[in-house]
Amino acid sequence: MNVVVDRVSKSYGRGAEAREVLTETSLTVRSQEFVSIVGPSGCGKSTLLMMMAGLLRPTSGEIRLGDEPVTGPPAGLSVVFQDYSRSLFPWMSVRRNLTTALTASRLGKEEQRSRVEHALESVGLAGKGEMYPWQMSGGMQQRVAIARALVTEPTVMLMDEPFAAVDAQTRADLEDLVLRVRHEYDVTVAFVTHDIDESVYMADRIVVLAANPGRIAADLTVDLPRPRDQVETKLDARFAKLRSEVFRLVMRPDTPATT
Amino acid sequence: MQTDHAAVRGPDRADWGGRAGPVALGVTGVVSLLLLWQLLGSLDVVPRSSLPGPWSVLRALPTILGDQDFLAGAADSAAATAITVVVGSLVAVAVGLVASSFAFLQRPTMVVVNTFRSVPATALIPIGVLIFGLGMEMKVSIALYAVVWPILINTIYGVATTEPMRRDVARSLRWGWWRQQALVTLPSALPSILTGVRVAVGIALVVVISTELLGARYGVGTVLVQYTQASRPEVVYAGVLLLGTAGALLFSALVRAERRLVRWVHHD
Repeated sequence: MNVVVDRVSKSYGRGAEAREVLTETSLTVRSQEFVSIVGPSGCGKSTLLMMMAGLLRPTSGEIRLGDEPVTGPPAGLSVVFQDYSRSLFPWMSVRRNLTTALTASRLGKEEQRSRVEHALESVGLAGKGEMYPWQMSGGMQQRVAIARALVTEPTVMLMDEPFAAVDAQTRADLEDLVLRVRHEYDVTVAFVTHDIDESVYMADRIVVLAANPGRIAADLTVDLPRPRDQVETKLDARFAKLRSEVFRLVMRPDTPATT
Repeated sequence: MQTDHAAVRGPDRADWGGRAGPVALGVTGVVSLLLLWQLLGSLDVVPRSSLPGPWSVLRALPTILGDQDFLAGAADSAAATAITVVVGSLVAVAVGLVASSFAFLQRPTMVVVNTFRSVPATALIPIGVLIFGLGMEMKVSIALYAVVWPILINTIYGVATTEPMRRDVARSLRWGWWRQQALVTLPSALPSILTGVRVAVGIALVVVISTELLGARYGVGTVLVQYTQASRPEVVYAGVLLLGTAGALLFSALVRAERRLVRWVHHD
C-alpha cells in the first residue's frame, strides 16, 4: 500500500512563537518499497515519520495510506521507535509484549500464538518468549521491538532511527535482519536515520531532507543489487558515489554537486 | 598502590558488608538499648512507675499475650487497618487515574488534595465519634481520610512519570482508554503507588490506634488504656513492644512484596 505525504507542513507553537519544522513536503512511499529518510538534526525527519504513523497531526496538508486519509494510528501500520528501553513494556514478558500488540487485530488464541512464535523466530528470538526485556541486551531488545512491529503483519512499517542506541556490530546484524524480514513479511518500509551509510545500504530510494525549515532536498534512487552485503555492497563504486552524494547534501547543502 | 589499598580494605569491608555484619550490628544495638533502659531505672533517672525495667516488661509478655481482650483487640485493629488500606488504595488509585487522564481535572484535584491533606486526621476523631459512634465505622472512616491523600498524590505523581514514548506505542497499537490505563499507565505508576501504600499502612496504624486511645470501644489501644488505668505499666510496655515488633515485621514484608511486584524498576 502506498503512503502518500501530500503538501504537509508542521509547525509547533502559535502566532509569532510558531516554529515551522516541516514545510510543504510531498513524497510517496510506494508499495513494497524501502525508503530511507535522512537529514541533519532538526530537519523534521522524525516529525514526518510520526505524522505518517498518525501520532502527530500535520498543521496543513494530508497523509494517506492507500486512499484513506490518516487521522490517527491506522490499522496495518506498525512503528519501531528509536529507543527500545523506552518503547517496550518492561512489566510484560517478551511474549506478552507481542501478544498485546495483537489485541486490536481481534484474532483467535491459536492464530495469536502462531503469529507471536513466527515473529520471534523471524528475528532470531525463538524460545526467548518468557524472558523480560530488562534481562536482554540492547540488540535483543530492539529485535523484540521489531518482532512486535511485525506480529500484526503490517503492510507498512515505519522505523524511527531504530539502531541509534546499539553498537556497530549489532547495528550491522540488525540492518541485515530488517532487510531479510522486510521480504519475509512483504512490508513497505520508511526508515528514518541520521547515519548516511545506513541510509544508502538499506534503501531502494533515499529521501534527503534539509533543515530550517525541513523540506525535501533530494530524492535519490539506489541502484545497488540485492541482496545487499555488508562487505560487497560497500565496496561497490556506486555505493561510494551515492554515499558522498548524500553526505554532500546533508553536511554541505550549500555547495553545488561535483558530478 | 591501588592494589595495596584494596588489600587493606578487603577484609575490613567483608566484616561489615558480609552476612554477619548487619546481624552483629543489630544485636549490638538492641543490647545497648536494653542496658541503657536498665540503667535509667537503676539510677532512678526515671521512676519505675513510668518506666518499668526491661525484665519486668519481658515477664509481662505472657500476661498480655494471654489476654483475650488484647488478642481480640489486636484482631480488631488489624482488620480496621486492612480495610482502610484496601478501600483507601482502590479509591485513591481510581480517582488518581481518572484525574490524571483529563487535563481539566488536574488543577482542581491538586487544590482539593492540598487543602484537605493539611487537616490532621486525628483532629477529626471527635467529629467521627459524633457521626459514627465508637465502633469500626468511626475508626475506618477517620483512617480512610488520612490514607487517601498520600496514595492519591503518589498515584498522580506516578502517572505523570509515564514514559511518553510508551503512550505513543499504546496509541499506535490502537488500544482504547481502558487498555492504556491497565497496560501502560497503571504499571508505570505502580512503583510510586506502592510507595504511597506503604506510607499509608503506617499512617493507618497510627490513626486506628489513636482512635482507640481516644475512645473507640475495641482495639489494642483500648486495652492499653485499660492497663494504664489499672496501674500495670509493665503490661502497657509489653503491649507497645509487641505493636512495635508487628509494625517492623509488616513494614519489611511490604518492602519485600514491593520489590517482587515491580522487579523491572531496578533494571530500567
